[in-house]
Amino acid sequence: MEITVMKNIMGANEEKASELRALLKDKKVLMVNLIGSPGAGKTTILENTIAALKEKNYSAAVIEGDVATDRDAKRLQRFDIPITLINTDGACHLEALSIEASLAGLELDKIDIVFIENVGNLVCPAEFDIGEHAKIAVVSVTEGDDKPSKYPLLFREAEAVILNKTDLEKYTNFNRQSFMTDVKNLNGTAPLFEMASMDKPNIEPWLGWLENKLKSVRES
Amino acid sequence: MHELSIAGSLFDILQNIAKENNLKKIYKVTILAGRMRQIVPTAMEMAFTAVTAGSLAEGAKLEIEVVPIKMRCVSCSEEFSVWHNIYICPSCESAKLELLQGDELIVKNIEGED
Repeated sequence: MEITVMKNIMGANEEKASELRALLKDKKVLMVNLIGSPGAGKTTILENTIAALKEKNYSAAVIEGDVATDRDAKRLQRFDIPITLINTDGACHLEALSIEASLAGLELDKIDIVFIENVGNLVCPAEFDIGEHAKIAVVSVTEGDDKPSKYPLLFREAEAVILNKTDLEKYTNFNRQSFMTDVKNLNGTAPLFEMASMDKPNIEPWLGWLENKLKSVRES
Repeated sequence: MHELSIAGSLFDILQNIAKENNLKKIYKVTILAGRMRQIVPTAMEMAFTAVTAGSLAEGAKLEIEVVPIKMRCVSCSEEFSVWHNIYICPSCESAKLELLQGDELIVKNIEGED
């Protein structure tokens, strides 16, 4: 016999993600999901962002997704903020269920922004709604300009794109025009933030975007 | 390897449907996969074989129907297919679009016996 099903395979994950977004709305907390390759600079961006947010009196928390080790989480400990670590034990991405457990361990009433550092990977994390308000694509000039065209879903799904390590651009064959064209073709409405991650990171435009996003979550 | 995770969710659904319909064996499963989902058919088939091993769906054929990406322009209502990752309205060049199809991941139907 043949049975017509027409059921969403990701339904269970998506329902959970919607529940999490409702919880965050209720608590007026912004949650952003940083997705990028290993070594793109996600943790460094978080270090710079959290330091700057502290100066502006925002309180942040971090959910660290890591295949193994707590090295990224340890790097962030000096900021004295809540950090929860999810070791995926080999899995290439985070899912809504694991984020639910992490959020349950945070005092959301005292937090403005939750950052999720997803597992370093440009493919799988883009597939999963984990209850975030925005996915952020993080890519560095040293990875090459072809990443948007090779990993289109992430750049399509992202609400903003961070181009990192621009201070190293002169040492690479990064084709800026080609990169910009691909990003614009994939996602013409997403803002692009350029950062030089080590010195003078230039994170003000990114901070402004986060503040606006937080405002819209609070007013929603 | 998001295929493994997807195959796991697919298997959960298959088990529920088999239970509801008293199926003893599943022969064939057809899924709709939007092109945006970046499903690699061979990886998906391998993952499906792995998660269904020893179950009532062991040996079932997995058919993947790829759904092309279609968008509608929010500004001028033009509907168009997306090729080569260009999400720009061919009529008015706006990037404000809504998705009509191409990101789905759906169990379409299953064949089995009770």
